[in-house]
Amino acid sequence: MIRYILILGLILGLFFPSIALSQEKSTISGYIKDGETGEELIGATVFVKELGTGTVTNVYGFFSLTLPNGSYNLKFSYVGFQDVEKQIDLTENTKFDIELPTNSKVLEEVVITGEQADANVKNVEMSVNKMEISTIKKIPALMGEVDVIRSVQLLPGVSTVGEGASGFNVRGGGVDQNLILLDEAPVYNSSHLFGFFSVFNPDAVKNVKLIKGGIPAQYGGRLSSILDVRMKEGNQKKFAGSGGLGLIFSRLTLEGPIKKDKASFVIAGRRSYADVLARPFLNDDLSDSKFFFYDLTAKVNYKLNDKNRFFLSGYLGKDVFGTGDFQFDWGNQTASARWNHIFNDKVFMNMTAIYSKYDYEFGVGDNQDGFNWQSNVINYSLKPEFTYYINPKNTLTFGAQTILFDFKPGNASFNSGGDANDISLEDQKAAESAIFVANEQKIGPRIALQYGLRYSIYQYLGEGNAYTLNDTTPGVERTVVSSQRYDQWETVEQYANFEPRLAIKYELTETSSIKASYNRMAQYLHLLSNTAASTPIDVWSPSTNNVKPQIADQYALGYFRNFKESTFETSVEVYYKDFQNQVEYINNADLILNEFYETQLLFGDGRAYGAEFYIKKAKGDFTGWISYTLARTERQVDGINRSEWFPTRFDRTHNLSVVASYQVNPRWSFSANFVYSTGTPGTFPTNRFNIQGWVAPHNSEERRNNYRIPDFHRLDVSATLSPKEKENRKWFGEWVFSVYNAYNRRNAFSVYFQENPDIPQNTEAIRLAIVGNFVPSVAYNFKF
Amino acid sequence: MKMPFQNLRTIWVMVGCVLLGPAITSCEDPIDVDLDEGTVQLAVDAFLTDESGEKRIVLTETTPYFDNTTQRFADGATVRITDDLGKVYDFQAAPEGQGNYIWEPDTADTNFGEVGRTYTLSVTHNGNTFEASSTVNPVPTLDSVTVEFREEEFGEEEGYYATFFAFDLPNREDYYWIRTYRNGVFFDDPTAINVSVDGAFGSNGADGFLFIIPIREFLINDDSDPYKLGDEVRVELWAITEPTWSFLGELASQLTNNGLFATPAANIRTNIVNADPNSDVKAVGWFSVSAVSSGTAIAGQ
Repeated sequence: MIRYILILGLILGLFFPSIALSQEKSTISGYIKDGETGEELIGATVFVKELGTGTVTNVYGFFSLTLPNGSYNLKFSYVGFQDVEKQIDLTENTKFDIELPTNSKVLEEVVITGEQADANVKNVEMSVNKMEISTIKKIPALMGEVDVIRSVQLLPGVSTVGEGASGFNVRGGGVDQNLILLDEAPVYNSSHLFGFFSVFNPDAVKNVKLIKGGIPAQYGGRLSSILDVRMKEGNQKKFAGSGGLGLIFSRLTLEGPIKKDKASFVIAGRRSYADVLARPFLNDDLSDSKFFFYDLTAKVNYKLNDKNRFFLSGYLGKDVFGTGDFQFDWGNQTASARWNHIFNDKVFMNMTAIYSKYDYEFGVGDNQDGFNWQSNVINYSLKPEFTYYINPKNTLTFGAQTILFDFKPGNASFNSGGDANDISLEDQKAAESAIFVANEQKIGPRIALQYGLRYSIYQYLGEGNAYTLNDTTPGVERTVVSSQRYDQWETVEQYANFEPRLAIKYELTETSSIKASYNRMAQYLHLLSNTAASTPIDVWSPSTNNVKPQIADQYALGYFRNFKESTFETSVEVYYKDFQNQVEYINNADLILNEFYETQLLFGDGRAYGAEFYIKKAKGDFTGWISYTLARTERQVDGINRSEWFPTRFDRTHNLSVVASYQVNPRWSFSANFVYSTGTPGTFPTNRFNIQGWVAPHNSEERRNNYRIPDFHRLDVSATLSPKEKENRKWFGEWVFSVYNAYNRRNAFSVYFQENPDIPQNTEAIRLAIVGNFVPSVAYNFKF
Repeated sequence: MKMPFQNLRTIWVMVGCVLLGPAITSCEDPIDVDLDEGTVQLAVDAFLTDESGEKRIVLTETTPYFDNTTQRFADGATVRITDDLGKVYDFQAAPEGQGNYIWEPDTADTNFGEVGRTYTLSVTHNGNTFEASSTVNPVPTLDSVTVEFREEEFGEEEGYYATFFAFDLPNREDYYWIRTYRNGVFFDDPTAINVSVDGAFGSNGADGFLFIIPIREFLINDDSDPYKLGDEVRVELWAITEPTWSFLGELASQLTNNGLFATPAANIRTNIVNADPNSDVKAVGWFSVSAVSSGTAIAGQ
């Protein structure tokens, strides 16, 4: 506790003296925008030539810089745009917006980073990867469908349990340990069609930022990463559209000003259409089959005046499968309303109200004989966040967040012979609140610090039953000893955590730096998933009196170096993560519609460590990156693997990604990516025995994840044909040809063991390959 | 509660076959895997019923998982069942050997498997004694079995399809195992291991209902090979205990644990316990005694 008070004191101590000093200074503030579309630029630089210092714009494109009064030359820049220089005589607080003209020559090249070229060395943040949507669009994609999550999986420290699996794993974290934000609203399931495609429409996405370590204090609630997906604001200048026809989706995005320079909108929709194409070819008994998925993304923003701006964004997505009397669907809905307010030139506020829902429904049969099941998780949240640009050396961020969760673990009923039976589970409620404060401080020209503290408090709320469970041999199902009823809004259990965050940068030279960070994260929600890949019917579940919050401490150290004027960016990072209260399951756990699901859970510790090597070429005709991660992820849970440490399901020792793109001429560009990773662990039997004619597998040593499936590797290639250059071209159409899994490898997703179907007394190991052949595709994309 | 996963698998097949068509075909093929052999353990296969006639228990030993040829029989064991009234049933090695042990009732003594009785099995083998017990639960009458002809439809071949009718016993929690025979041959498709709680899948809900349609119909038919004209369909309803229900559920899930949503492979439980709690020697397998009711129908009659 003393430690935290000291940190807080340090923050406040820096905060107050700087107010006293600020009198003979003035502040320059404003927005930096894309001159062509009016879209705000995130992470654009302002550089003061005389002082050799500067700042970058925040996620809303806002900057604020407080300098001693005087005459300055300012340079505004962003990769892919022409620099703008401006001379000012600073005598009082000054406010202006800057529009950067697009550099049409540069636009022809691939631009991997949106920021100033040496941000990776100069910024205090580490363990962060940013991807512009233009980069993501260059990566060869399955069925030609550009995909955010699958692109994220190519970054260092990120892996997946297998092709077609939902979500991703960051530095040894489970898929539920990533906070995926779409315009600040959490997305509970990021996948369409299990894990083949992610829910984000690439045409509506502006940029993507993955934070794996040194997580700033304004983020919390998940242990392993923040994936911050920001949507476009919509073209402020003119009406525009884009879209495409692929083999899976057809897409259309429209954007434009509602009132010039005041309000704009963007609306983007996608729908899969294989069902439409297939319908004429289906037999009568298949003609009522349903299999499609769609999503709709919309956003409007309104600039009331220089000080107030409002944003409203929404997302709606659904996957639907069915035949005849069977239907299964799932999807996310999110809405976020934001208010940017500038109190004065130095204090920027963003207030966000968030609604997010994930639900699924499953039905088979009819009123005579049938089964129906619905489940959802809903959250309502309010997050005020303030940025105080104290001086060029200190930027203070503080704020709060409160979230109310409403869980519907299962509303289910079945009918048999006309009799109905309700087997629903009771709803669960919980509240999570946090306050946070953080300061980014520059000490001299070489050192920068980012330190902060988040205090989170969580309540598991009634109405409902809380169960007391017995203690038993670890690994054996526990039993309910007693149960107590709680009233509506009554607190069943409360947890609180201090979450300190720290990051340090030390610049060794102009082109190299070392960085270190520490963060503690607390997670109060758990995705109950005991399957090889997480399924759409996995239930999000609160911490309860029996399920404690998960905690992780992460330490990371990195060396960053750029070569040839930041043409090559390189980094090496090592990390160590210590996890507590990781959720595991007893053998043959029954989690579905089980009121006493807590009896099926086990809790243990985790540890993950690794080294990440990264080389990126961000400029020129030839761009791309190589990322290699050497890692280990293990758990120790009493009752599993003889209570000894075992590798997790997503432990991959080696993980290599090579992404390359070559612009041959203004019309043709080629891209390729190659991935290699060690096979994931699996639990294989050692022995067998006969029972009632069946051959049962048995693992006599009771080991978990005692073998590995074969290694994974795959090459994808694509070629893009752009139209000829022409003045005043209104319609810009491009063709993308791609081949996924180019050398036709049958990568194992899993290996399982079974009786041979023809000779049941013979046992065999079966390799399941999700993509069993090479997949060519063609897509047409357009812009107008 | 297996149903949602079975349907997820159906969806997966649909996705693979129809939606993505020839472009993406997920595939499953056998591969070679080198497995270490674990400790050899006694395996007990003892599912007994209240039906008249001899009672048979098979004792074997575990073999390496991929060894398709070796059979290790646990001969020379002492096998005895005792009921809670102290009555002793001594099993003798069967003439054919191969780990078979039988008990033959004499004419005056045919009431093995009485409802409400608890039976305890004791097996002594290689100097270790293992014990297991099972209580016999009541079984409802199986009212009838019907067989009807159906045209080919989605996922189902043309042929005869059976349904049985029975009502769960009211006001108590009951566990059942439904075993189906075609012309006397047990329908042993591991995906169709048919167990039920109170006539439904889960442990929360139904009571006293007609057995739900997946149990009374879907799991007693083979969609790819339906019954043919003249086939005899016999359905047996076994009353089992909750632990036996769990054992069969785990067996079913481990025999069919495949696909994108497989669960971690886990050992199937056993109720065969070493009588010496300090011993490290373990056994596998199961002992169960059931009351049984049954019905029979002939396809096309």
